[in-house]
Amino acid sequence: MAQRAIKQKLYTPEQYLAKEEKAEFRSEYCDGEIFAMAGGSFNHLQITANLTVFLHSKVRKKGCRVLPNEMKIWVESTRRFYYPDVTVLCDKPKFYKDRNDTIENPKLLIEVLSKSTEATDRGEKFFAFQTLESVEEYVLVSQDKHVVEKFTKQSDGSWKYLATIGIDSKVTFESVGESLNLSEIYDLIEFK
Amino acid sequence: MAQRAIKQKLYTPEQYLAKEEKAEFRSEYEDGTIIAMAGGSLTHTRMVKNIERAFDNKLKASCESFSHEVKVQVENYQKFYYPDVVIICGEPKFYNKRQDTITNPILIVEVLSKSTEAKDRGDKMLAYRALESLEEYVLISQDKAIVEQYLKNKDGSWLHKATIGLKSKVRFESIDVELTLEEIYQRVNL
Repeated sequence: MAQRAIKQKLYTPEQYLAKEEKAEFRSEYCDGEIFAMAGGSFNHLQITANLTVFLHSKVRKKGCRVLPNEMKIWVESTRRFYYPDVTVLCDKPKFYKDRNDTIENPKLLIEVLSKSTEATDRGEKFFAFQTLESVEEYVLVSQDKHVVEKFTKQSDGSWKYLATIGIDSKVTFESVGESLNLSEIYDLIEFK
Repeated sequence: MAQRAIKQKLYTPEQYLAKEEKAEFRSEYEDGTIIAMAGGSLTHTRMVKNIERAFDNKLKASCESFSHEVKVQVENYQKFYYPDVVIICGEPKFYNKRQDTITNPILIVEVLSKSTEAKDRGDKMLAYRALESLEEYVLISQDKAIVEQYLKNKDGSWLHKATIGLKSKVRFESIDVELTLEEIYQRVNL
């Protein structure tokens, strides 16, 4: 990415994690570099909360759980630490180096899109998450229109893309066999 | 989108097309708003040429490729876009009989750049998926040897496939053409 062309101090994963423990705001880690995360907008936070609450109550019955946006995911192949907006975990957590703040085996990841991170969410993160064997589904939720886009892993390694559009529609998360109405995901949301 | 929060003059498609005929540089149109396009880098231009040249050598006689100058109209979303490369098989269908705007592409290619990546992957994918004729949407990275394809399924979903590495080949199923990534990335420094 453009900003990475500038020479920056490089950190090891352990240095990043040590800084992160004491930091007041979250940063992500990209192969040596640390990127501060912007705070979310009101709609971004509300949609994230809706997804977390509605999805948790459904997947809980299936032995899965929803973790909020404080959960770090480690992607070994591209050496990244990310904080997805919503993480769904169905197995026993596999912790990065026995640390209890970072997991390596999410099943479903959801990002609420914002303009500043859209390219990364759709490009770099999608590629990174694809390399995690445990990830079966990656979902992108718009915050300025009723659109939910979903990538579901296929047996041949390709991903099925489906866009669900409109407040009256419903999106099924195949990885966990549960659905949410867009009216739930967008509850309390008003577009400008 | 953020920039749309600012009150802007809104245009009809016809006003946009009339302006576009006289404009010195290209603009795209989204639901009333006219958006100027940035010029492409040398690498971007080179890749578009590589792709078009390779396609032209291999396309069936009934298919034809165009780059840069041809607009695609997406009716459901009131959008006019200039794809980097667009392929039509059979007779072109024109928007309101205008020779400069088609509505029936079978394959669209975008060479990604940092400034347009979000839109190419987001708004344009969302719009193009509504084109009945479109069977394949292709995104090609400039700085890594990666070709991503979206192939339309019968149920309205799309299949995303990534082909990675200069030694790989990619098969464009909608037009039955295979290219090597070496052809696509000829003279490109990765």
